Amino acid sequence: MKNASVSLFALFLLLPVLRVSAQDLGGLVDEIESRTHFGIFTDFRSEFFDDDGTHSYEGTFVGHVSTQLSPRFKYFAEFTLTPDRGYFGQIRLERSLFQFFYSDLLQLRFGRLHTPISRWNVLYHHGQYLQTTINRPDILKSSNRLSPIHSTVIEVGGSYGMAAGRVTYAAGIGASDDHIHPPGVGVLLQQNPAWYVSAAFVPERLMDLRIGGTLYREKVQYHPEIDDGRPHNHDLHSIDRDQTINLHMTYDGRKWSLLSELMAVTHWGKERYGGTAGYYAQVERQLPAPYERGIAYVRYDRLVRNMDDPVFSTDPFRVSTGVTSGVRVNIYTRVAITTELRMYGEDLTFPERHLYVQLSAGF
Amino acid sequence: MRRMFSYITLLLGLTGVMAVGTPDVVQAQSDPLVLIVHPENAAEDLSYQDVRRIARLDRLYWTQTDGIVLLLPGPAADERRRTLNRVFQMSEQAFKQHWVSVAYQTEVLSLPRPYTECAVAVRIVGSLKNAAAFVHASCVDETVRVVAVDGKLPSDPGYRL
Repeated sequence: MKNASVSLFALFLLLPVLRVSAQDLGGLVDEIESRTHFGIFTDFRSEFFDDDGTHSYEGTFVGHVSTQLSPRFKYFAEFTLTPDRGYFGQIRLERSLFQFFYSDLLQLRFGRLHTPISRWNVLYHHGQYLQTTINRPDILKSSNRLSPIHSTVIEVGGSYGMAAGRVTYAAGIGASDDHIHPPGVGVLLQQNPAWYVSAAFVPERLMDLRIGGTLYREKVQYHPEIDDGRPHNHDLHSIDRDQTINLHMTYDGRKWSLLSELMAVTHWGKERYGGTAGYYAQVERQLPAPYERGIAYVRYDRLVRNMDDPVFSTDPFRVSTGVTSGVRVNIYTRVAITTELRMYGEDLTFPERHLYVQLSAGF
Repeated sequence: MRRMFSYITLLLGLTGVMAVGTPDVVQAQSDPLVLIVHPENAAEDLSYQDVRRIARLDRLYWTQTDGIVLLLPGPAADERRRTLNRVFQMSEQAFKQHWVSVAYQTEVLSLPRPYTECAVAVRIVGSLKNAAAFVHASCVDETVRVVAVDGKLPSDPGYRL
């Protein structure tokens, strides 16, 4: 409720913020000085599960607003509205950040944001209309406990151009807003002071290619008051630090694109628990004429868990594999329909099969 | 299982039918595109890649701290198709989605301003020292300056816009 109040307050506070230039060019400059932008995403999807023939429905409404408060200062807020726990709906403040732009090389951000621990997390997150697929990669699902996807931080970042290409960087310090919740253990770990550094390179001759990575570290803490009454996993109590390393390579061409990421996780407790890693590779291809409104895609996901790591010791599988494929069709300029088949399991011999249909829009 | 594949067949068929679109009509353009700036702007010659970076907002500043105010052709502007083809290398659909995506990622200070008539863009660039716009060469007057691309002006062979 507190989040809802904050979101609505931020939205209404920013509605009237339209700056007017002192210069008079018949209103032309006034128009370009109006720097408030509103955006909306909405989606509705249905999932069919083949084991028992059941199906479910889900939808999301995402609003975001940004306003340039001064020639160098900007505020951005995003909220989500989802039908949750049987009522419509749960409103949540997703992002709220101030940004200071000094130059290409130096920019500051502070507030709640999507942790740049993954390219997908920065590009899409709740932007269901923006992403081609319906499901996000397995390494970014909170249930898989690989990546803290929300953070409240102060971050310095920017980009530097040189002959070979352009380097972008970001370094932040703050705290993650996410929890680690191993299944069936009944204990949460809340994450405390965290820091990250990330960098990426875009070559001069191939601007659609991007190669980069992130190192993320944080302290973690056991919270007994969140215990749900089930037996404690005492090894989990000892974990006090974790580290996530991400490497990504993306190519966003005119006809086809590639998204690929690798993520490796280490926890420190009674001992060092490394060896948990996941990756995905997704290829998208625009269909040839006269079907160019359609994009066909396929993604391969794989996770390998260290079962000695208390965070993953209660997972049903050491290795899990997923294959996601589908077709997205842009039926109107800002409306798309997507059909997706996802197979997931310990291996793909007897996988779970899910079929999804989604209607999404972005404005 | 059969029920599942019936669903798949039906839905893929439906999406395939909906995917049929009208092919883009490629129009011949003899009037080259130019990047114009204020006459006092220090930028005289940019690489093609830098022009693309400015257009895509990968580069936000002319100099250390002098921000770029960018004007791009709106949907009804004559320059629209050529800008999409030569600068952005995107379809109309991808172009619109690109800006929704840029707004969502929060990495830029403000979005480009669309214009409908190139005369309006020329007037604004001639009045704002840090403004830039992509317009047809035929629209340029003495109030603005054309930026060379890879050392070439529109009259030179091999000009890329």
